[in-house]
Amino acid sequence: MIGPELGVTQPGMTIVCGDSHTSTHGAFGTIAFGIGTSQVEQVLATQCLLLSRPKKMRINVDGELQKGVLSKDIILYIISQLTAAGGTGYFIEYAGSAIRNLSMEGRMTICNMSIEMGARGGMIAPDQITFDYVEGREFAPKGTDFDQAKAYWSTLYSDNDAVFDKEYHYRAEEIEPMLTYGTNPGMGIRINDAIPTVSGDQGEASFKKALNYMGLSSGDKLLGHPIDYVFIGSCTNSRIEDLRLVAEFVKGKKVAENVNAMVVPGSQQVRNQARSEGLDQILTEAGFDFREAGCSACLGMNEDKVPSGQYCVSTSNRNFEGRQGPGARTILASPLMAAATAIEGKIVDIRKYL
Amino acid sequence: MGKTLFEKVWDAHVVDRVDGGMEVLYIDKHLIHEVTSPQAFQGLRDRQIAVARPQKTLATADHNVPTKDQHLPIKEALSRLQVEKLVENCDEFGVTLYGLGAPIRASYT
Repeated sequence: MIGPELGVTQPGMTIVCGDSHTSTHGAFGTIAFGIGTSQVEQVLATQCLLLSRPKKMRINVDGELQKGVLSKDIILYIISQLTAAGGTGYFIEYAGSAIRNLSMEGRMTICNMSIEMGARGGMIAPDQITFDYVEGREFAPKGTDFDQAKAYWSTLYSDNDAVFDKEYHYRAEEIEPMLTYGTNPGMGIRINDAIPTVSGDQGEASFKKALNYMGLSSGDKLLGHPIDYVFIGSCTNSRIEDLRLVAEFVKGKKVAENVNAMVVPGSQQVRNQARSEGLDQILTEAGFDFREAGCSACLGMNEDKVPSGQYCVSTSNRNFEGRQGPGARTILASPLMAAATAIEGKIVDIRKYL
Repeated sequence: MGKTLFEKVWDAHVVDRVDGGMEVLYIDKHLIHEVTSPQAFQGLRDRQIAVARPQKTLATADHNVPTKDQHLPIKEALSRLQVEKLVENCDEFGVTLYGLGAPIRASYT
């Protein structure tokens, strides 16, 4: 969160962190990825890393997104198509008109979840939207330095005759609000789809185990399913744009009585911005708990946990067993879907409000 | 043959190539947090070496921090220990820390 906010993150850089979701920075055209503790030591000691070059994949999404479909839905859709292992060994470039039309916040959400399909990371070529975001931030280059940097950044795109090891094409119009039903982010469906059936050597045992953990069955739809918790936060969806969308939607509405709903800004800067815009008041009046910044209920490492057996619609990035607390059942979704769920107390199609 | 976006950025950071095809990549920015850094700092201490580029390293506490009453001490012992360790390590090794109470602090990287 703070890298982009401070202008530390700039196109063409290499950025690492001992955190899988470092790939978020790829939205700026940087090579950014998570590393293990021993590699953290290597970088601290040498500022370098010994690595094998990953393979190259490009994912193109072209066309117009439906109303109510967000960047989170794009990435959940891609992962549901490629599976949680579909990107293993690759570094992904996201391209196409539907990606180009996204804000920096939306692009960060996409790149953030690259790791959830096994990829080393994901990136998007920088453009005017990127330059405008970076310009003027605390650690961004200033004056002629910025112009020089921008001239270099403008050369960072894939040449027409560049070769990829793998390439995929998707249409934005096919994407609907997405939800996960299982215990990895690849187990996702569109809101109107039923949970699929998996048989034989396709991994039936682990599929059944996942559904059993989630208390769901093949053929079920998630639409209308009652929910206990809603978590809006994490490095995937806790930027000011996310909070604005949620606040705009819930203004004048009330969180359902059966739902415990929480909004956790990704950084202190986002929190302050939200407060200066009065979003905290809108959210609080609607019945959301507006918290201080942190990773919070994304990962069950702190005090914010979901109780065993309870369902949580979450804007975070992982729905692994126990991720939000022992026995907690996580359903990943966009901030708008999470907001609508909080209001109705059950999973709804956000598009019915639009 | 043209290059991909990835190749342009990667190639600009290759410092050396070693036998077997692995490459040494220069890192522009290293972000660290309380959960995956304590053993790495201890490793440096054991080997008696410094952080090579402290000005290229930026630390924050985010994973374990509570989202209520951040002005109070962290209740969970392990979480508190990890955050305290990060503060100590940054101090000892000259790394800038955006910690609890600072105006800007990350949820993540």
